[in-house]
Amino acid sequence: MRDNVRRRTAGGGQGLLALILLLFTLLCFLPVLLVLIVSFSEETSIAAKGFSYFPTAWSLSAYRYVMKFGGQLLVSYRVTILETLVGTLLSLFVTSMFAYSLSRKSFPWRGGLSIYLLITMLFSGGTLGSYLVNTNLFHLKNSFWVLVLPGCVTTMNVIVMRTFIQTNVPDSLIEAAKIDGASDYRLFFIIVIPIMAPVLASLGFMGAVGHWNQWMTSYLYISSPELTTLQQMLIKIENNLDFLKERLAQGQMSLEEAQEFKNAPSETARMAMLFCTLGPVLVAYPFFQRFFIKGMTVGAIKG
Amino acid sequence: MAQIKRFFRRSFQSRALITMALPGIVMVFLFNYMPMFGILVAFKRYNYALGLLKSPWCGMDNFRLMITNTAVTWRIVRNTLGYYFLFTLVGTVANVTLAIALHECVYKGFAKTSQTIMIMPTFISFIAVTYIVNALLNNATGMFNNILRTMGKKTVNWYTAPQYWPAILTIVKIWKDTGYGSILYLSALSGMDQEIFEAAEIDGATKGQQIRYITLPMLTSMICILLLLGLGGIMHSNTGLHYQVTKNVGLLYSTTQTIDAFILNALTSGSSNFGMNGAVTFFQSAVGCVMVVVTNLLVRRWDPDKSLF
Repeated sequence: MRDNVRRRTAGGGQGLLALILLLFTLLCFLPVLLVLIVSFSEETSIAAKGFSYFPTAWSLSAYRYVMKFGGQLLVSYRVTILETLVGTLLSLFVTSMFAYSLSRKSFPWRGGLSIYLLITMLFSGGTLGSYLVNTNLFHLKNSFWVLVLPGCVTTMNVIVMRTFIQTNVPDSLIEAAKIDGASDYRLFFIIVIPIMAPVLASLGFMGAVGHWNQWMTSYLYISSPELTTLQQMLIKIENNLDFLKERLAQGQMSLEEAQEFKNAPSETARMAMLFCTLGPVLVAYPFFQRFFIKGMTVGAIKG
Repeated sequence: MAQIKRFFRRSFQSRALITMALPGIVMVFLFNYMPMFGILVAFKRYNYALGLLKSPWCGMDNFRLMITNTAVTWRIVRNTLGYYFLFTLVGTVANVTLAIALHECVYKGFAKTSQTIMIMPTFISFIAVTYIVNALLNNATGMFNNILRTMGKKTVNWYTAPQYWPAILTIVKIWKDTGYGSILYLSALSGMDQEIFEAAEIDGATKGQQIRYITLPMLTSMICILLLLGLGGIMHSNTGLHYQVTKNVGLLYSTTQTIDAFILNALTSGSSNFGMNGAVTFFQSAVGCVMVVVTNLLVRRWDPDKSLF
């Protein structure tokens, strides 16, 4: 009977459905392909045809330019990797300890701290409130820590982790370990952390991507080149070029600006730089797919 | 008194748990609670030299400014709400449609691979999206204008034509979020009892009828919960989309600038006149707070397990 049903469903409708899915898949993929193709195009092809999937000539000159003038790219890579590593690990560490303490029924501060966390979901100072406090009181402007600390603990992540611990770590296991004389710290690091691996992988990956793609914090707080992240570097290149083009159009370009314009990365070089920033995430995400799919379904349940 | 003593004794007994929670408590205080005080700038005449604490109070002046500056306030509130409803409507339809399509597809390997590719845009930064949109829409080198040129049509100056941007931003949003947004619906669908469909098929229901009368009703409660939970973010928008992708071009403000984009623009344009921006943020926060409370009440009535508090 089952076979019969299967065979009937795999008809012409299925072909049409697959075709629509294929089209949407291509739609998701083609813009990224355009970036890749432009980065391997000859610059003259851009001048003649504009951005195109079919350049008149191929070339590696964009990547040669990036290698030669990519000093900032290397610095930015280092800052971004450091931010991603420190930010993600610190966030997982602080959040999971917080979540563990909230998951213990014997913890007398449990109710109070839950309310303390929930209030942050109701009221927020917004970008402006954070900006004023971070710059005026904490003096975090042009500090590495502004990239890492402000988003470290989010209420949603604490709730997701707490729910995960409550549903996946049996109380009896904790009790047994307690009777055997394990302290809360030992218990957490030796027993709870390994059980939490899937949720750590899921939230960790999403956090890491968030840090890698983050641009607003850098844009607001960072001006020194040594702390410029990859995304901010891309913004700077684009804005600078737009500015120079405007000056050129107005015919007000000074000699220095003209020189700068000549040395600025070409369209193809910018796409090559863009692809260098995209690469790591695009390579990594398929491996984490099953984790964040699981993480999403965990997040949908409240504890 | 005895209660207080007991509380301290019990706290001392769980001192290990307290030390574990402490870093989190401090972080939340510094970066979530302190900004709430930062927003008191809404009631101050902010002076950069004096700083946040020493600037003089000015009562409701900033709110008066916000209300008299009708054109800007109305524009950013209208755009924020408009895009919220547009994205929610189109986004939900797209997410559910894609989830059903992936679920119904019998070529499972193909469905799985295409799902992986469809999730990709979620992990692309908005700066990259800005570059890509520019590659398509740029006046001189953009692909769309080249196509128009080869077809012998007049080119469009996209970055100075606000009328196209609601459509452009919606397309970008759908492109970026649909693959990822359909995951939750898809996992709900694969958790469904497949025998119902087989029974319906034997009874002669077509695929369309199965989707209309079985799949959609089964998803309804999930769609409602997600719609309600989303209402809390009604005053918020993505600055990546509304500030970066539009390149913050002044000519496009009328159809693209939202509250968050307005605030970001004020912060980065170097002006230290935070008065009206403080008032706008305060207004945004207050409405957001009411929406979270209201939606939570509604969610709790619908499905107590899904409510936040």
